[in-house]
Amino acid sequence: MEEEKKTNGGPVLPQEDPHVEEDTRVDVRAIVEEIRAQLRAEGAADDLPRFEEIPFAGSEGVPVLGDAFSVAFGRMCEECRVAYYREAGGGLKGKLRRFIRRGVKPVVYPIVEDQNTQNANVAEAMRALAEIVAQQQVRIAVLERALAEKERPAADKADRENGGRE
Amino acid sequence: MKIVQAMPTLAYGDAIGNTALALDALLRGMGLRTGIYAENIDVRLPKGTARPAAKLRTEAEDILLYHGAVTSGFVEKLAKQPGRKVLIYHNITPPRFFDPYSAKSADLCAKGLEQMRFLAGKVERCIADSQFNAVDLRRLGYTCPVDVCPVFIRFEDYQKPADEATLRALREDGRTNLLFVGRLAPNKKIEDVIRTFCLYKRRYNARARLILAGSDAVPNYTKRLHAYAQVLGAEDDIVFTGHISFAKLLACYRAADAFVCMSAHEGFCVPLLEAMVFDLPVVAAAHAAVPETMGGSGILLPEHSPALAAAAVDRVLRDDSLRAAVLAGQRARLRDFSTENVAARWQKIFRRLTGGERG
Repeated sequence: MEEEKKTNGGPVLPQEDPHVEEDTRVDVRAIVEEIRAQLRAEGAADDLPRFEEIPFAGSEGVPVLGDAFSVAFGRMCEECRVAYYREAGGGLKGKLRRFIRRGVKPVVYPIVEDQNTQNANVAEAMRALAEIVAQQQVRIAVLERALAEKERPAADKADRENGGRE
Repeated sequence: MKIVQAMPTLAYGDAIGNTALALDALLRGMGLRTGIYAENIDVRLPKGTARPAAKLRTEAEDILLYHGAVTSGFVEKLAKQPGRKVLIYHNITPPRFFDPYSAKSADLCAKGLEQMRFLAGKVERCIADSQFNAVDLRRLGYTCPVDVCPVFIRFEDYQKPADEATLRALREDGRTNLLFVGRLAPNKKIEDVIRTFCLYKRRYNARARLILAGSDAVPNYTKRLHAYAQVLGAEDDIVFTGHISFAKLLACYRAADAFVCMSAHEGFCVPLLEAMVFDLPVVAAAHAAVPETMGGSGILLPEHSPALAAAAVDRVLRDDSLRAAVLAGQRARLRDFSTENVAARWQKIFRRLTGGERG
């Protein structure tokens, strides 16, 4: 059958097969029940690593390493740019603040820029570190899997390797 | 009176593009004045196939068919066009599937759905690819009549030659090839196709290979899938084809032994029918429009279980009589989507729209 399928190269077009076999119905429910019973009898466990355990880069390109990290990192990115000044307010006090602000501007602005540059560097370093952690997590998962495979009973392995189709 | 089609993008070779072109030919065959207008027109299409959307002009007695599938800057202009409007709805993926990976993609989906809601009171009728999509329209606030009519499938395209090198590479080692075709998008649950494959390989057939034929929709998601394949120790057994030519896609179909689908959200899922065309037994999880498209054929799993799917794949590949019955059922189902049947349904809808038939 395998050979027949492999050499039968033509696609089946709807109009080319007018003769329908008498009973094409497949009792899927019965088949599913049989399969379920078979899986129960074999005690076949689905113990493969879950997709949810795989770290990934979220929307901002930052690896999602858990809610706490994502929330903290998101907050840091939102607030990492420091403003040059706060609201001066109105009235005489506001006017005085704005006057002083103009006087110290040549000193304050460069310092604020330096701080913003440093904050951006820290955010980038955190992002890079998160990527390294994510890669390490994947590596650990790969090694754990390899170890689990090594520890599987030899008989199981032989069954698997002989299971290829003819 | 003319009936014209409008859409954000007229692409070459995709289901929506093929449907638009087939409808264009159908309308001309019915003696109606027609045309296609699109914001983006694929350069591979013959010149004159469609006109830029900016040139769309309609009169009060005209009918404007709008293909809704993605967000578009064209929608508001469309709503103001004179004439009767009909929405052909191809489904928009809910943004929640894209949220973890791409705020931009999620936002596009959200905007697309918002635009569909906007059109709800502005169209007189809708045509949905599937009953699933029709229900979606009701949820979006549409109270007008909704017809269900499938997309056109260009069956003649599947007779084109397959890429020989790809076919040879996938066949010569004698491995069993499981196949999934579709964009690597989170709603298609590719991770569960991978899991199904790994369970199949571990429990039933160590000499198996999985072919994931589809372009990268969300880079973060694809990267995660690659990492998952690596963690499962299957990176050498899974082929991520990325975007491939049609000839290579045909080779993938022809080299495959079974088709596996674990999608959580599909508006129709053309690859299911393509798999049937190539006589591949389909094993699919029963979600969204998948059961409707399958129409009782293939092996439709009542629960989303990769373990069940893996066992079902093994069963259908080992049991010749079961496979024969499954394939016969799929061929019968395929007849429902023949060009003649689908064209007849669309003609009925157009006659109703033009007043030739009550309904």
